[in-house]
Amino acid sequence: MTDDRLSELLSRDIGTIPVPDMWDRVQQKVSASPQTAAENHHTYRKRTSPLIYALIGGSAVSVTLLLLIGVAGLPQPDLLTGQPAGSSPSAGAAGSDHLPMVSAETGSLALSGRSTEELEALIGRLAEGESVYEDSAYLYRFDSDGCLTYMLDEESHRSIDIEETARRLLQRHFPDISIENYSIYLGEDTEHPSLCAKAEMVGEGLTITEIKITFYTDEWQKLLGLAEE
Amino acid sequence: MSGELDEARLQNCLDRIHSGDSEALRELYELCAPHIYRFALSIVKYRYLAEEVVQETFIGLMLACRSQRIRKPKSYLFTAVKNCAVKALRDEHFSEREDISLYENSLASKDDTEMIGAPLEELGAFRELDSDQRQLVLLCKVEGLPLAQAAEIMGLPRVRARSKYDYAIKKIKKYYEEKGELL
Repeated sequence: MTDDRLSELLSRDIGTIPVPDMWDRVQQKVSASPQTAAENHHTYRKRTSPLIYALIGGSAVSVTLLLLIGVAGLPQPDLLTGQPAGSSPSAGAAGSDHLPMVSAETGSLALSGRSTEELEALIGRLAEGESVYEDSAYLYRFDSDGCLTYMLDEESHRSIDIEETARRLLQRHFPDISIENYSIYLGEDTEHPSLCAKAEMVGEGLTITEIKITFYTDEWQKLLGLAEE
Repeated sequence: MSGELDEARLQNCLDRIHSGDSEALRELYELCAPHIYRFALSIVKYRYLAEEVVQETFIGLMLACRSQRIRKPKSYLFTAVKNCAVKALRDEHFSEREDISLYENSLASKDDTEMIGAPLEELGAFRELDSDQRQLVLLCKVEGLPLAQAAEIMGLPRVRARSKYDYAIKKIKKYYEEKGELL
């Protein structure tokens, strides 16, 4: 009942937004052949662009880049790298819901060759079914479902400095972008704490002004001191 | 606009266009334009970009209809809008997270102000939502799509879509409860 009422209220409010009459423009465009439509499209862009650039007052063209590190949604490593799953019990556990966020950035991610003793000295006791992968900088711990529970670098072990973590993630995920000036702060969303970085970064002709890294699991939030143990 | 897009009518229009019925375009426009425009606003935020998205979506629809019979038309339509909106943002080097005040300060006339306005964000119920949440609420609560389908359209993992959606609904319920419109 509440859901129906909510839909009704939302539809009512959305309905108050005026919709401009675009029929003439739509008709003109779609009645043309595909080739003509493409030409019209180009013309339209050329006509509108000066207005847009005037609006932004000649300031640098910028985009906001949202980087979501959905830890719970990360795919298992063997799917990322194409390497055999090895002893990982999680093969096949990852579904289409998982985001391919790690693959492009890590490349060398592989099942750790360290002994169990060595690993447990670094990251604590390993539970049944857990597996550890690593690349040149980080250890990645996956649970029995193939989900990344957290990643650690050897130096910091369990103590993760928020700014340093954000800085490393930024440099790691955007190696071609030079970071000139930026600040890092906590996002306001209390449900999914995030690290936000305001930065002036130039790469591939774009100035990126904001990067947001969101952490979705309790484990991450605990590690970052954003949730109670 | 009241309620969700009628999928049966949409399918009928698209089928008629596929069969070469040129009159169906007007009906398709009248049926879909408000839905496309408002969903586009949830992504691109600004009126002038949403209008461009509407035009691009219709061009894409027409071209697609001429070459194939479209199945699951509602899902196809909103996916097309999403793709066009992302392209529009990329082309203009704009983002829904950009601070509009930078641009408002440089506006010269009222017409420009109206063109660059962000009407969806001015609605109280949507004010506290981010772009993903606005899209999810529009697709699920207004257009009546299942959450899984909305997540697919948006390219979001279902788990994340569920989380964002639940959080958005909480905010919206609170808003209407405080207004005394939802008990």
